Amino acid sequence: MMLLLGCFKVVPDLDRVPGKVWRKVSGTAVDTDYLPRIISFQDESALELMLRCADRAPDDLRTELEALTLGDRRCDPFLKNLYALGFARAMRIEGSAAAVCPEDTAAELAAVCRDRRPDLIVTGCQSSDGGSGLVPLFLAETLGIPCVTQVLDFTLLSDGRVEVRHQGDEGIAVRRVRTPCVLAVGNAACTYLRFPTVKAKLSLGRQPATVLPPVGEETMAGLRLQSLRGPDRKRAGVVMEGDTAEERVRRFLARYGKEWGLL
Amino acid sequence: MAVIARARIAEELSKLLGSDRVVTDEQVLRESSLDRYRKYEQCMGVFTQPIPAAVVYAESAEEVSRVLTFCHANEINVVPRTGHSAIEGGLETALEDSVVLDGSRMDQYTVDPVNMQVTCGCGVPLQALDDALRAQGLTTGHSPQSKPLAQMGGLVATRSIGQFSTLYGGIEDMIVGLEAVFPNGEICRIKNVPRRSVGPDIRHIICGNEGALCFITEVTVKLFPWMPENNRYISYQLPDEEMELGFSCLREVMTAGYRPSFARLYDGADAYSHFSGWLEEGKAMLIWMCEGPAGVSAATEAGIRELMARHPQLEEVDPDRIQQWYATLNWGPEQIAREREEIIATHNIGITTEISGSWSVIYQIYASVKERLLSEVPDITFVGGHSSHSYINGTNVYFTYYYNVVDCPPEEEINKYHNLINRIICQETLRFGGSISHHHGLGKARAHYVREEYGSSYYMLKTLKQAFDPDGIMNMGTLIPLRK
Repeated sequence: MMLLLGCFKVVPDLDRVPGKVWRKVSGTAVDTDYLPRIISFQDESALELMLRCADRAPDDLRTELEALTLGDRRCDPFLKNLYALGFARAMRIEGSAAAVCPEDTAAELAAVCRDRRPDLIVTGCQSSDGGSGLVPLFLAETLGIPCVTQVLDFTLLSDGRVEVRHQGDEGIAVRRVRTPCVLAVGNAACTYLRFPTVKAKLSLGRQPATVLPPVGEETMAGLRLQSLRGPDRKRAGVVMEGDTAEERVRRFLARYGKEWGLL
Repeated sequence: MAVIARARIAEELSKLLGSDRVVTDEQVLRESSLDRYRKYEQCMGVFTQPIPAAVVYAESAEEVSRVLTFCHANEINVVPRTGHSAIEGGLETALEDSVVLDGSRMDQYTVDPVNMQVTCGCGVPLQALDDALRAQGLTTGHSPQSKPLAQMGGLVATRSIGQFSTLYGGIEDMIVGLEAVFPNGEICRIKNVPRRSVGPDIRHIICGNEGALCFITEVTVKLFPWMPENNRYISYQLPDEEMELGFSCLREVMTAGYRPSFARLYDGADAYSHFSGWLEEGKAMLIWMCEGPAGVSAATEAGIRELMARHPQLEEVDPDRIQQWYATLNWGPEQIAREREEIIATHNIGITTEISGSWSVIYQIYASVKERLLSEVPDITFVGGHSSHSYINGTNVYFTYYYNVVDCPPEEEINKYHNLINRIICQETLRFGGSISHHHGLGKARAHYVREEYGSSYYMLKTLKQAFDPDGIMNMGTLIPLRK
């Protein structure tokens, strides 16, 4: 039996923030508290790829899927959905999903991984809010196992290894990796998480998520977040005002036409 | 249908208006054979409806008249179109060799601030119009979720309604005068006056005709002062099991004489899909917005609060959360593109259907539809509902539902799922005496239930169709179903 553990983060749906709000703010001062929650999109791909991997696993290879997140009660509906999709165990480490501290997150996830001993840990390369891109790397380092990043798909092999397609600088590479390992999923196209039926939600989805206390474990030696501040972005963007597209184009050409050799 | 060959239709139309106005590109024609009622087919690139012979762009009432006269003489079915945002099959080309007559280039408007009205070509995009008006301190008061897509002609043709309808009314309350072209080429104008008593209100032959009687070329609607600085939001959460109380709260406010612009009740499932950032699962939501002069909006807010204070089941929500949420509500091209990608990837599709009913039956309709959808529709993944337009005598319910398309080719999805859901919603609504369409129109999808919807007054609708379109060239299958 191979145990696959999916680690995911619940984040505000930033696509719902109107463009005019983004234009008015600087740094990280957008209020996202009111936004609906979603699974961070690369983590969503990771969970869907786990389901696809289990669907096509060899007949002689039994798989079991588990899911893990770090956050507050707002994560529980997502965990219930995963139960309804066939995950055997859905766990939440009590804490703040908004915390931006990849070494702490990795340490918390690692503690659960040591307990559950998964063959494969699957997660997104980076979250769509914090976006440090460090959690899968720190997690693999902490556990002392390999990590493949920018994963696009993976398949379990009968010999206990996993065949991984991943995006590299030179193109798409296919590697066979021993387990246990961490797979960090990148921008894998068309990997939206499937939807459970209402009947599945009413039967399987009623199980409560397993809530785990944070262990507050020491993070990796030498790594400790000292400070964090929003980037001081001085963008050069200019919004062309005008009632019609024609008027905006006219103003654009008047301003830049000669300079850019457009006229 | 069509007594001339398909190829000649485009040729003759090109002679009438010029070849730059006539499109025969295959992909454009395929996309023009349907609307968002068949969005799964659209996403999967499977087109089951007859492909039209041409899409023709008219730029004036006279040009519309010439096209209709030609189509009338040659028995060609015409599907009028502006923003292409219909969702009930009203834009499907149900007959072979149809012509899609597009008015989106009639996009000029004239603001008359003295008489507080604006005269618009049928192709004026509502979003652009209202944005320009707001810059002048005015508004149409019309703000449907399709605002970024819809155009004035289509909004009038479907008897559209906006999110602030409780104060401003539906489009039928906003219309002053109209211009429309009938299938024999007759151009008719109804003049702009505040009110008149000169026989039946013939504006209502045009408003809501869904392109089945005439082509709307121009519409004049009322204007209102826009005073967003006075807007006030009020909101409460309540247990989902208390939805009947939620409807009752809406009724209390409406029957007490208050006119908030926005009055909504979301059930637990629907509310969670909007407010999962802070709302617990299993909580329904009541929301009001008060608009108008400062004294009016303050008094409306105070009155609603006083009424709601009598219900201990209600828990107040920070109004700022609602104000921020409201800014994210409309659907534009970006949302449609994202939805399309998701449908293709997951084969999970979400649709809405809206009905209305009196206060005494609305909860029964809501509850019985939900129960039947959950028990009878296979592969359903979400069922929610909300009320968003209230009146002194009743309200609407907007059902939102998602399903997985399983073991089913794209061309069979409509019968296996969507038509089944439509049937359940229409049957239950009619059983309790409600109306099967609150503001999307009948289109072709719900035309099958038109006789039950109209009852004995179906005679009047049928007579209108026979009188204005005796040869049956206007959007056949819409309002009145085709005979098989």
